[in-house]
Amino acid sequence: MDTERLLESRRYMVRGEEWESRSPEAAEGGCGVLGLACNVPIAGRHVVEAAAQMHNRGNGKGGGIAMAGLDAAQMGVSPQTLRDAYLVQVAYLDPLARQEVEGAGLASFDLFQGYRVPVLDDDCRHCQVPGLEVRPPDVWRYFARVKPDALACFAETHRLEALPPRAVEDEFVYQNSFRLNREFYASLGEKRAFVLCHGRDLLVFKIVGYAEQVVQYYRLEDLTARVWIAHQRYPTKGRVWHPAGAHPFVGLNEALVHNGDFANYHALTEYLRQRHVVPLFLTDTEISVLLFDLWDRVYGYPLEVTLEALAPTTERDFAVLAAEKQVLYRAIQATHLHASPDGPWFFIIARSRPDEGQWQLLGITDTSMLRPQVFALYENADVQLGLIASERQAMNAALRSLAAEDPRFLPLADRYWVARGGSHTDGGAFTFTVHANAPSPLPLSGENASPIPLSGGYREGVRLTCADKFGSPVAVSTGQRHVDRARLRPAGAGDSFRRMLETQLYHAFDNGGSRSLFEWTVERLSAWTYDEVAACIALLTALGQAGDEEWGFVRQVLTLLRDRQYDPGDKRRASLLTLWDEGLSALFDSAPPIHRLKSARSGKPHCLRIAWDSRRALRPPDDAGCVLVVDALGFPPEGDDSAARCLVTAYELGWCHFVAYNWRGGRFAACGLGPHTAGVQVELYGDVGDYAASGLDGAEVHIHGDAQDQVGQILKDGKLVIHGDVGQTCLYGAKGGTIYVLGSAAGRPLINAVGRPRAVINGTCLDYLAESFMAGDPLNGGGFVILNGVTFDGHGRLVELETPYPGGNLFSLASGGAIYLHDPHHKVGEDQLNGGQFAPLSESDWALIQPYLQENERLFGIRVSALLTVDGEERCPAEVYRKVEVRPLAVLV
Amino acid sequence: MSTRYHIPTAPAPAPFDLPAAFRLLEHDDYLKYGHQVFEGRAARGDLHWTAEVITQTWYQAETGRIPISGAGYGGPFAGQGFDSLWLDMSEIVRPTRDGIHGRETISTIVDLGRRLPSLRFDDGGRLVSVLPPTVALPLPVLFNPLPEPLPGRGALRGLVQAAHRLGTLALLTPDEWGDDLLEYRAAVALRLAPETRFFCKRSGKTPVSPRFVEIEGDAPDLWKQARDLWPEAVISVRLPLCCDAGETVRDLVRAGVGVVHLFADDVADAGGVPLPAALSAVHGYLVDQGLRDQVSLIVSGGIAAAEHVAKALVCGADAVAVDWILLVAWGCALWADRGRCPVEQGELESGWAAQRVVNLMAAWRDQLLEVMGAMGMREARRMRGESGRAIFDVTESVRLKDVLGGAVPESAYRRLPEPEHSVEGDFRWTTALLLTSHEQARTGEPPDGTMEYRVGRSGGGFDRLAFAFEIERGPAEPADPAGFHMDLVLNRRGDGRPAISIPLPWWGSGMSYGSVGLPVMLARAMAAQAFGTFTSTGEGGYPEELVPYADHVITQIATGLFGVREETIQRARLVEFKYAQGAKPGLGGHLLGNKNTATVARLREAVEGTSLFSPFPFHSVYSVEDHKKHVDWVKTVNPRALVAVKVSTPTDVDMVAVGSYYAGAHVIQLDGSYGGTGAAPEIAKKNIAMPIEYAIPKVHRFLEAEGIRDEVVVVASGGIRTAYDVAKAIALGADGCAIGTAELVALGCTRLGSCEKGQGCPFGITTTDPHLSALVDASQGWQRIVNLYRSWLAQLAGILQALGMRGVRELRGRSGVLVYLEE
Repeated sequence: MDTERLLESRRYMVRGEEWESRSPEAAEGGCGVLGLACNVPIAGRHVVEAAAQMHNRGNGKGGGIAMAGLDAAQMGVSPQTLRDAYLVQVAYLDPLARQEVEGAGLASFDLFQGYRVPVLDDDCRHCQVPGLEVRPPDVWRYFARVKPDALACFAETHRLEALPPRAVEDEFVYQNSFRLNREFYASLGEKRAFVLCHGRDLLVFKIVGYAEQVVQYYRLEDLTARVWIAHQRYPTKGRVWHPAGAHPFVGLNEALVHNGDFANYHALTEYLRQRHVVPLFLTDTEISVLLFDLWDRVYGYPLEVTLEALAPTTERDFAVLAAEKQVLYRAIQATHLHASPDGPWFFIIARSRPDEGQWQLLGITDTSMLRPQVFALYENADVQLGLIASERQAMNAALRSLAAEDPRFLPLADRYWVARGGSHTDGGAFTFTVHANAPSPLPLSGENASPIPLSGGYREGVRLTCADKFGSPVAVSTGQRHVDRARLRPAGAGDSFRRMLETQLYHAFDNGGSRSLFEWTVERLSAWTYDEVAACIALLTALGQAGDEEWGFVRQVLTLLRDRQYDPGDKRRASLLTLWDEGLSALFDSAPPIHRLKSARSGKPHCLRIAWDSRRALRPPDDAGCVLVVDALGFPPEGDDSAARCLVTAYELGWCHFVAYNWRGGRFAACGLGPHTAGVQVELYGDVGDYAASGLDGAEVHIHGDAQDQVGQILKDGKLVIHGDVGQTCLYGAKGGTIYVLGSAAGRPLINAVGRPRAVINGTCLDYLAESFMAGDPLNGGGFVILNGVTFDGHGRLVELETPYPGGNLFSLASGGAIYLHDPHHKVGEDQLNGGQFAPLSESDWALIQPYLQENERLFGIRVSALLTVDGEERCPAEVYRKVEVRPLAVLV
Repeated sequence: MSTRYHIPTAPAPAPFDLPAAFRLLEHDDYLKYGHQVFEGRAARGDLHWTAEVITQTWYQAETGRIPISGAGYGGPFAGQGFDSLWLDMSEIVRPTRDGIHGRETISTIVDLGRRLPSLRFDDGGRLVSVLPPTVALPLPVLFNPLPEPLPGRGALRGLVQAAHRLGTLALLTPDEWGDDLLEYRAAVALRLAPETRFFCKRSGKTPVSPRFVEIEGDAPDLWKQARDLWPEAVISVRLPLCCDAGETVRDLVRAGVGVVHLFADDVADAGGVPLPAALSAVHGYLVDQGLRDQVSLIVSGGIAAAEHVAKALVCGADAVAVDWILLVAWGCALWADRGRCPVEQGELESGWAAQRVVNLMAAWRDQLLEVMGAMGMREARRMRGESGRAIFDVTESVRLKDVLGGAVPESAYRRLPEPEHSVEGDFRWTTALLLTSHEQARTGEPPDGTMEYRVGRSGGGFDRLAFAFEIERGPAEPADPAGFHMDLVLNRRGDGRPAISIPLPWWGSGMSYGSVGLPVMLARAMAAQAFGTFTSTGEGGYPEELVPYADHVITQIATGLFGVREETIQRARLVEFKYAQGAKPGLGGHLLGNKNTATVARLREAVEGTSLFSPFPFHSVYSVEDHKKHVDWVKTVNPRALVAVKVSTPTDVDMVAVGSYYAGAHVIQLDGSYGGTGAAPEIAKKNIAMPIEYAIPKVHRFLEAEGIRDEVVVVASGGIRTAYDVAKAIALGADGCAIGTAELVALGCTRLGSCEKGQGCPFGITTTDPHLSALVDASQGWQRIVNLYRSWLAQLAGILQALGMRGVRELRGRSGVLVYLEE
């Protein structure tokens, strides 16, 4: 009843709105989004790095930032005011509007503090944000409470006395801003002012420009918050843009950024209109946050219910839910399905829950994974950090920025994962919650995970937890600790250790065995200290500078240490990766620069390094075996000057061996080499961007780490090895070639592939594997996929995933090829096939795939015998692998 | 309800001769849109129950398959009622859903029943709301009682059996119930008239506990009685859809009613208002009242095709109920030809009758999946009232007329003589257009004016537009093209890439190897080389035989990525992304298995003899920023290539165009719905996206307003048949055109429309059969294309001369020189 009265009090909102003829003003299509949440305050400058990394996902027509968990002193108010008062920020496009807003518009409020937000050119007339074309609006910040008499009058008029006073005040604030926005923005031809935000402990800025420019212009670099979200917008319509159309949009205590575009915008506005919820800015992002606010604040739904209402669980995912969950979800869907957004979408929400002492970061995806998204978690004894972004590289940029000035952080997270909305496994939604002043620290890990050492931890009493849609905690690791880089001393390793290492090193080098050194190392590594690891790296990099042969040897050793899985003992894998990466960078940096006429080394240098500054010095190689080391830092992510083009130019000059490092999301790596490139070798280090190795026709490409989206599109021939996970639609339309993936492929790998591509995926993929696969008869030269469904635990041990394949669409409408599933327990069911059929593994099938598994063993160290071992016993292949083959379908003839 | 809904079909041919004397040729399964309906007669029979609807329903009822055919849409595009709106499609700014054949699950489930505005939870987060009963149907169609009594119980039993197999409901009156329906009782719903005694439940005349009961008329008391009698059932109220229906429904909803069935008459007309408009009005009224979400609306009256279901949903229905179409499914021609109806002659065999209905519904559902996929939706429940994803002719035609130089009666247009009876062609490509095009291809000379060579008789599109001078003076005299600027520069971005110029404002549009044979491709490439323009590979790969003409061949990258390699991207001066095709907007490509011969399979590297599907959309492009990445990819692979983007015409085609420009495209090709195709579902040809003549000015003006019109080239395609069409497209705002079907006509195509059948075209054009394709001789064929274009150039020069212009650039966007031919 109270809910209805609350909504009834908004009846005036729908009056006089000629809303029917309105269509969305801006079709967004795509964007770049980022969010981070941390138990310690994070300064804005770190967000700048990450946002800038996704510059090319926006077009400079809209950027925005939201922050929650602010610093009271920086805001100029007491902690109590920050917690209790509404933080109203108004953007004045017309400075003259301020008098009217502050007079009549905010007349019902007691204002505790009101001031103009400082901007870059306040003190320095010539200071400008580079590339910012439209001057952002002046922003005034007010801390406000509704005057008691005004609130009482409002409650009485609408008979809301039974509601908690805070709920009434929230609604009052919401409606007051609505009226302000309508009066000063939406109803006019001329747009004069709008409310940026009005929740508690939540700040929003938006401009016509890029997200990082928001931070620079409003001088947020040193401002801190526990939760940040950022948005790069790519609108396509309208010559004149207003900052009000940029993201984030706010409900009350939440701000939302969105990447996507609804197919049912109109119907959703009708849904809201029936409940007297009226959008004013005419974008689907505003609709999204209004839906969330309605369900969350007004209807008071539990978060899981709101998430289910947004991304309903359907098909097989629904069928495998527990019975009581099905009853609940069926009720939610019966009531809300027509109000859930259709089409591609990905929301990141920042919100404060001051009364609960929480700030949250939420990421929610649609049910078909139509937008790129990735989540990450990092934690050590002092800090816990959660990240959500469109691209992995953006998260790594934030981490890198944090790590550069704060030794508690590392440039890599402990765990990265992708999600599918409405999935039965995790629901495709994750919440990072920062708990203020937690009475007793709770372990971050799952119940079954070993407890995290808490000895030095949670000093501030603030902690972060992560949970999926069902409330299940997301675990990080098991009882291992991160390196403390502030205290890392290679010298601490001790002389005897170093001598032993040296002996082994030179012995292995003289005998040409980088693998033997690697194996020797990992046998001992679990017992080493971080100082000893550092000493090892120092010795290796020193050796690498001795000569070309040494350089190549050390690259191989460090690369194996980086790529392979092994037991790190009490050390965290992310810490080790960070150290190996630093070693590799030092090694690469030591390669002789191409523009120096004389190499420091004797004779013809076997490897030469080129960088952005020296790119014009590119020349043909001295001999065919020469390695070109490309420092990709500073090259633009795409276009004629990109690092990808630099590789092509070098190839055309005769280079055939490439080592490229410091890759920072640059796209199209190893594209454009053209036909018949057998013999060409490309080693990629860093965050390799989208479309890597697309169109490859003969060359061998190794990605040392995770790869992003659209990898290997139309791949024709050659070999692609990914020592990590790979993103959406890898090998789309591939014709051939062989690809090995250590981890998982997100969604739709090998869609529409033809010819003879062969793929080994050791992890899994979320859905739509090998849709419309047309790759002939695998036993007669066609293509296939081996899906192993395995992963590694924190100690490098091979473990089976819960299921080799969680999705509901496997091999849909395929007319050729096959999938070889490592599924000894027959966890994949007929209902997951969408056109194919199970068949027993024949001897010729095994003869076909065994060499690929052997190569997989060579590349990743995943032993064939280990794959065949089930419950401690080695089985015959037909008991372990199942074949999914094509089935004649009426539509296919 | 099962996770995957599949309707098994089986052949169910009619055991009797189908009644109507439609003009079905030997190779026709059904009448295609735009063809003549009766032999030797211009009459079209009924306006709503058209010959196309009747024969396509027969085909679907017999086979369970979607009507698919080659060639483009031959009809007028816009019309009355359901024909006055189109469904939108998603493109670039948002992906379509790849739902056909179950690639991605699209749900057609709908719930009927009262709905709560919101749920309630206790403090522990447990659900406390009690939900009213609902009935879930796997597809948004239920069956009305038979519209007229048929002999025996065969038809009735067949209908109920079909409802049972489909999982939907058949509404029966108590009189119709019988124990022979007992095994299907789950599918039986009751319709009760006010005079019916309600207590038949006890008398055993009705199935025990029906799931769904419908009360005739605005009778809340009876509704309450029924609710009390069957508390588990959904009780609906049936009302006429008319002027005050909204208020009646409002009162019923306030009284607790959860389902209202609104019916119009047999031709989808609600008291003088077409059903879509009347339904929209009720829906909108209920939204205004804040009540729409609490009630389900069923609508019926003249639902005769799959597109009517989708359109009714978009206008506000939750589901539709059908009646007369069931009789058609069983073989009746209704009053389309005023002939006898065999269904009335004797009792139907119920199993056969059921199979026909099941087949029809299976085909309807597949078509529903196609249009929903094109719209980018995966839930029928989210389509309800989603009028934002519809395009209304009334809105768009006004916009078009606004930019024209005026309107004149059609009779003012001086049509040239045409053959009395068309023996070939359709309303768009009339016999006269075919004959004059063949003549031009033979001689290279402009037509002598003794037969109509400028327009067809479709009653829409370019056939409704004329140059003002044509009204005053008739056709323009041909002129020497040498005296006019005919060239088109393809790069206006000033981005350092080559400024390729073609000497005439058109090129050859994409046709895949697979849809046509190699000799056709070669002839087109040789003609392109002769003129210094381009032809496009289409989506089936790049045959080696075309390599010598590489400077004049566009490499097309379509959603299937068939045959696309770095090599083929690198050898092209112009690379074209095909996002969509006008003849089937929002749908992927579909090469039927029998055209996938050994050579086609080799080129596409696929399995011979299997149907090949191109997905929709590009699965690497779900948004405009993905699109930029896509364009950047090709630019990286080939740093000298220009990039063209071929799109169809959704309502936001202007945004698609602007987005493509900002993504770095040099050329935007708008492909309209009259365009040709090797095979496309009939439903897609006339129901999705907007006509090209609406799209061109929309894009042109929008780009102008953005201040970027002169930095990008806009090419129009999809039904450009004549030199006059080229000139009209340019006057509306295009820089040039892309030509497809006209080239095939030059090679001898007669618009048989059987491109998809068997081995393909009997004339060897749209075939890959090695013997048949030998019927086209490239070494002569290319000359015929050259001849046609030589004639077109002379005509275009004549048009420019008549307009007092010196070149095509001057004509661009000068839509004021055109007038609208009013009916």
